[in-house]
Amino acid sequence: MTTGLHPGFLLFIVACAAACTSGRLRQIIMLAGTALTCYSAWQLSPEAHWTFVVSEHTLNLLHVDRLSHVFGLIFSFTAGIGCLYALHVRHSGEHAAALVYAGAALGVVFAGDLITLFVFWELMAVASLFVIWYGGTARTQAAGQRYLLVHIFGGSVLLCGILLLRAEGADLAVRALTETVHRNSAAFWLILIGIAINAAIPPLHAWLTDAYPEASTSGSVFLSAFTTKTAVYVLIRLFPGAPILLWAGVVMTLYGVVYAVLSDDFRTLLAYHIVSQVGYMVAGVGMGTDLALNGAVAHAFCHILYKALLFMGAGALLHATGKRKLTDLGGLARAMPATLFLYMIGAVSISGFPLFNGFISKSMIISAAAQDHLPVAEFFLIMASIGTFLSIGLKLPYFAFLGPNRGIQPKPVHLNMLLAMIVGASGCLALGLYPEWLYSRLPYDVSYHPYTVDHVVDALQLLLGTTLAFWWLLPQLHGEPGINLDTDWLYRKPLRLAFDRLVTSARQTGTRLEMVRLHLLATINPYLQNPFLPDLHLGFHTRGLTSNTPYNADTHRLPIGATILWVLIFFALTVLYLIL
Amino acid sequence: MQRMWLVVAGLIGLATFILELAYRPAHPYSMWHTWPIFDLIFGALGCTVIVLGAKWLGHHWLQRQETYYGDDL
Repeated sequence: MTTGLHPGFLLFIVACAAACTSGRLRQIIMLAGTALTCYSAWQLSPEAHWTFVVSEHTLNLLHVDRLSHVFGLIFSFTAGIGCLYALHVRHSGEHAAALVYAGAALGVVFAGDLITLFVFWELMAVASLFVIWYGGTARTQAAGQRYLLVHIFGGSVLLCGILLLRAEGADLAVRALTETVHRNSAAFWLILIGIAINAAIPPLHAWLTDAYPEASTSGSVFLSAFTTKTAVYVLIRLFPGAPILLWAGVVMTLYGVVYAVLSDDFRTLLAYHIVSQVGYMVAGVGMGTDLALNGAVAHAFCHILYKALLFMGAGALLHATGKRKLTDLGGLARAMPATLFLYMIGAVSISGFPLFNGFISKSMIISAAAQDHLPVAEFFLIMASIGTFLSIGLKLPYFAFLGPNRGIQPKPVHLNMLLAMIVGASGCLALGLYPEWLYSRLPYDVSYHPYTVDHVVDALQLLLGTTLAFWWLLPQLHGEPGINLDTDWLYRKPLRLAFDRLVTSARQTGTRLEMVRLHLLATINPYLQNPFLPDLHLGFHTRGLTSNTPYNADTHRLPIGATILWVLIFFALTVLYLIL
Repeated sequence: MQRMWLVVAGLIGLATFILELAYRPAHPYSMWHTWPIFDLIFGALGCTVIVLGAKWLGHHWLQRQETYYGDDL
């Protein structure tokens, strides 16, 4: 039974149309299709529903409330600006994969039961894998394979949790597990681990910082928006107030910041800041108060906008210069002023400058920690925001745009890329200037005022202090070529070594067993030859066999005489049994 | 140019200091919200700790050659 239009399914139709067309027609379809999706998401009301009864289970594909609606709005909007940014891309498959990915993310958001949620969750993983693989390099292929393995593991754990929950008698509706009898059951923890992998909670986060920087310039815009934020959405739905999430979130914020300081690849730096920013949301979910949950939703909304803008800026930089390391860049401010300006709007937004959207959402989570009497969490969340401004607001723009000129002649950036960045930047500024638009759409009715004197003064002082220390520490901050070990080391080194050893030992054991078999064959064969065909000399040939001899059915297998012998023995035994 | 930025920074710092003295929060949740220019010092010290701490971790533990995992992997 269906009432209303599902924005996710609309995007699937747009994806099919984009895959089958090319040129100007495809561009029109993508823009018109995503605009229609935004409109349909905007129009959704709680009366809209898609329910199907399958056996004993009711699948609820479209469940609309304030929480799913606000996520639906930002996901649809991001799909639109992602498509605008990617208009010049010629691979129709990349467009189709990105649109299916966005549609699946909307499917997760509007899912009313865990089975539907799981199906869209897995579809999202598959589509995002293709988005990564369209990066088109050997590194992309390898990173995509690791991404696939991690997400297969995560999906399996999530499915085990859902099935176990069903076995425990739950009805599988998407509701807070922290408020049910299943709290702290095995199913609870399995589902939490499955979602924590997609939320990139350390140590389960390395797939993100491994794969996202390898995607194409437009692919990384889509990737930055959907997977981690759908995970945050599901955490808000299923695990509000889970204490472990508070401290996991606080660790995430600092973890990402530390690695971002060390990163030389600017898209890796941005990827580590996804981990850091999602940490604020996860901490908000862990606090579980109305203000904190509103803060997590608001921060997800704002983060999707400014992070897409930052990845668009980084993509423009990569597209124009072909370089991805800060040590290879410098002095591009004069050649790329528009990109720098638009990137800086994203940078000041993520850093929590007053008047930009990061300020209105991040301060909400920090205030929630203060109101919840969590001074340690509050302290470290503020400290992480220092690191955010340091890396994204100061280090990246300084070394890429303002540092020593390296004589790079950048290519012009496509107009559609700049237009998409302008739309994203306008969104960041509009939300910062008029936060009530977002606050009125948050799931809980809580009054919050970001622009109080103490909030603004604290933010300005913090940013000023960070800037002063940055100038003092500038010689320490230059990029250092190389990579930084992270938890993916576990499956890229020791696990890989163990796997290689396992394969080698299995191969060696197989070779030894083959030698034994051939030796036995050589011993038995002379006694099994057809005595009426003396020219065959099967035993003679078999004696000369080694494991390297090419396979030949006449020499590598027992002759038919062996089978006849077994049949005769079996027959004799049967007769003997019957007589006795 | 650099001097102009320093003047701007100084003015912002001074303005926030005056505002902080004039508008102290009535019911601060944490003690440090009552200390003048706490956030300025926290910003500078926090930034220093993050940079030096991250660099120390990098040099002593985390940083490896580009080809550590093999070429193109």
